[in-house]
Amino acid sequence: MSGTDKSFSARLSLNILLITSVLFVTAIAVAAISSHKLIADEATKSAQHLLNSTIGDIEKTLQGVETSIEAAAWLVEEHKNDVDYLYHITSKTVEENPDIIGCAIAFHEYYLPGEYFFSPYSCVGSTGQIETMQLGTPQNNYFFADWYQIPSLMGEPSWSEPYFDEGGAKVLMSTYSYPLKDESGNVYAVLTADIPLYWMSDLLAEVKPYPSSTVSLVSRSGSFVTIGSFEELAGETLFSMVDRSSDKDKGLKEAAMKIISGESGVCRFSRGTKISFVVYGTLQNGWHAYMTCDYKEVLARTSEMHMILILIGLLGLLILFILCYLTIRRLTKPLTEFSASALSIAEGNFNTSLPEIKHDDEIKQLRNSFEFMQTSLTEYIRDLKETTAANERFESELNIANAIQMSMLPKNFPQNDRLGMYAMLKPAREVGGDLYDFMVKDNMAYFTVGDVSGKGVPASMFMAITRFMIRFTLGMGLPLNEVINRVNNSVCDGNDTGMFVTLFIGSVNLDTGEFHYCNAGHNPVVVNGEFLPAVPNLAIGVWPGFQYQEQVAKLERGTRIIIYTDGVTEAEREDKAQYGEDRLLKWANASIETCKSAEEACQSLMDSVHEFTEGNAQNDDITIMTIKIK
Amino acid sequence: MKKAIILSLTVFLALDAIAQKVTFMPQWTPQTQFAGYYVARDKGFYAEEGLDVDIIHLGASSTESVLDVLKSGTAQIVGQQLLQAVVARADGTPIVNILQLTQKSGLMCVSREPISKPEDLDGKRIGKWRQGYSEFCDIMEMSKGIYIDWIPFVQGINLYVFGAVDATLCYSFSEYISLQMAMGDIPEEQIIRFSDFGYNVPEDGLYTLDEYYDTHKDVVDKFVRASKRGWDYARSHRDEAVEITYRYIDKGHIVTNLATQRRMLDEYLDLQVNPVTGVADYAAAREDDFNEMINALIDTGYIYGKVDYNEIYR
Repeated sequence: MSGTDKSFSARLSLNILLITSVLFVTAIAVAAISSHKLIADEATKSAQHLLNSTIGDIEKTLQGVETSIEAAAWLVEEHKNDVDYLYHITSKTVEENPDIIGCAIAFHEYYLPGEYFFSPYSCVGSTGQIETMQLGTPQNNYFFADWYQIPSLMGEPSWSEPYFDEGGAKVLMSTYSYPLKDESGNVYAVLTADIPLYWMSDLLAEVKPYPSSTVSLVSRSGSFVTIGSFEELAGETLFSMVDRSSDKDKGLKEAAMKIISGESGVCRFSRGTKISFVVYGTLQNGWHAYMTCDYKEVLARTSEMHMILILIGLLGLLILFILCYLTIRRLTKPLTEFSASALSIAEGNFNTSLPEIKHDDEIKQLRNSFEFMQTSLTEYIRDLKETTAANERFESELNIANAIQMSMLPKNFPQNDRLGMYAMLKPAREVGGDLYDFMVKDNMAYFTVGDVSGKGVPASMFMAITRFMIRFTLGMGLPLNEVINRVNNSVCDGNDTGMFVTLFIGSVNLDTGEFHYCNAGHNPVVVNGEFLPAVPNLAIGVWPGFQYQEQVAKLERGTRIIIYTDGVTEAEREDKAQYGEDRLLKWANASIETCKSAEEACQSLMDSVHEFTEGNAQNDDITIMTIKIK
Repeated sequence: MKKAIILSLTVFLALDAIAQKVTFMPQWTPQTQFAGYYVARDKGFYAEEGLDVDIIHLGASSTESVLDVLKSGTAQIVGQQLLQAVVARADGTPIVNILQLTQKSGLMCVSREPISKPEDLDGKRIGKWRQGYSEFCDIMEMSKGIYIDWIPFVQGINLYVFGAVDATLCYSFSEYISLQMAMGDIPEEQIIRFSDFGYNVPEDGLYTLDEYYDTHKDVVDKFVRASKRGWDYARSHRDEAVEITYRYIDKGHIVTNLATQRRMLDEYLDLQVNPVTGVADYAAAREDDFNEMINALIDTGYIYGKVDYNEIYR
């Protein structure tokens, strides 16, 4: 019992746990997806904002340089014929702007008569002093340098691609070039400012919203202007990095194309299992800045929160399971007790106490029903006991009645050299309504077989009365029809129950073989295998004052008479087929001669009937009387 | 043991003493365009021929040409393109081809706008190398009847990237790869390959002066043999060839990247494959093609007299 109880509690608890878990997982998944998306979107916006702010910081410095050069350009315009002053402008520009470490005014070919090159130039020397010189030489032909050629061709200022300063500080540099134009718009010189780029690396290294996020600056040609470790990336471009990536990396080329597109935005790429997003933007000078952020790091805090949430959830589920289990066990405890009580009651202990239920709930209702069942069962068993006792008593009385009825039937059948007689009566119930009787007096033998309407005790009592009346009246020496007339009148008198008796009565003079008989509505008697003709008299007890007719026949020696009740011809099989008169006659013609005695003949006919009914329950009393006149 | 070491040292020093010194200068700064020579040197193929080869380079901003260096005697063997070699010979520099390396032209033009044929370049501002190659430009302008505003550049692709020119000449193994590294894939409709338009003069080869050829025939043969071996090795050991080249790149403080150098080697090795035989067989230019080129050079006024095929390919 305990095992079943546990199993039920555990099973119910597990079901609750399962449903709760599904709800919990769904809730966590929905929360995780929506919060991840929200945080990723926020992180993207934040990164874009940070990148724009960083771009602004860089541009502030670059614009400072541009402003200095524009101011110097004005001075060059003013003093373009004063060679010494032009040198002064370059040194002054370097001196006054700490971001500028070199400044040149590169003039067009033969700006000075006879001089192919003319380019006053000042830079911060290795000692930290400003050194001034003329830059152009056949070995250093600046006319084909990007910083000269591009602004000259385009007529507008530009920042050069980053280059490695081989001569001076061996740092990565870029040159801002400003074309100076004459009145007709032709470029006659290019004013430049060289700036080192290491400060950008320092600045960008500070911008680190996530541990492994990087901010990089690439030039128009995709070369890295700044990066944490320049040595590693010297000479690399965005696309050379893409070229070296593995096949597992996705979206790198597309990201690189977007970064150099000149627009700002965000896109995703993945390297191996690492998925990142990149925000990008473009500086006014054409350089491109971008920041990469690993989604894993962006979502790290949320993931941590989700992990805590999951742990709390799991703990909650465990507690829920334990509470469910304990509560269900407590609630189902009365059921266990009921089960024990029911078992006890089943074993006959009707006074077994039921568990007490405090709460007025379904369990209480169950207890009440149980109690009602217990009371009803107790009462029922008591009634059953009484009924059984009464039945036993009744049965006992019936047995006695049966014994009395059987004892009333004569048993000493005459068996002598002139007469053989035997009779059998098998009631359908304990007591029956059939009767047979015989009497041998001198050379006269009297015999009768009757059938009272109905069965059971009333019929048996009616039968006893009728038998008494016949025996009594017969003793008066009256003809048979007169005997029946009197019996009929006596029976009819006060026959409130409306019962009646069919009856055959006969007498044989054993000396002469004269056979007198009267058939009062009874089955026809078989004599030597044929039905004995009989006038249609009414049954006894039907019509008071009815005059019965007696008939006479002559019996030869060896005559066999079979008198029976309708229990023989109406004996039924299960399929409702009846034994019938034909079968009776057939038996009378075929088998009776093989019987050595009247008793054997009686038994043979009874067996024939039983064989026919195949064990089907007997529904009427059966009486057979066989007589042989010897 | 000590004797053995001394003996080995003596033999080594003796070999060193008799090894013939050769100075070789390729056309440009260190890159995988010259990987075969670096391989031949670093794998000891030159040394095995008894040559002590020194490979020198021009500075990126140098105004000198390899022919200047050859004529001055600083280098005995130089890398040069056939067209320029022919012009130099016509101009009186007694230059001779000792190895024809590439078999196809890698010359192409990348435009900022879609183009489909050389005529589309009419009136455009186009970047070209400052050092030489103008012969081709003039031949193309004259043959197509177009005018181009040529903008000479020293190195690289920046004029194009900045938009200072409408288009730029480039080589498939060099500037074109740099452009891809700077800008990603370039749409095919912005590219024309001159080999598709009847110009397919083979380019790079090794050259020396007649005098050196005459007096150092054995050295030249050894150098060519070892160089071919170097290229053959590079073809079958490409990663190693790039690695060896990088020693020269680093020494020359050349700013480049691995992806570019690897793509360059692949493309350059492809240009060495003879379209007729399907293999890299170092075949000389076909005489008919050569003579057609000479006629074009005479037409454009680059040369005045005929240069004999056998003078170049001795």
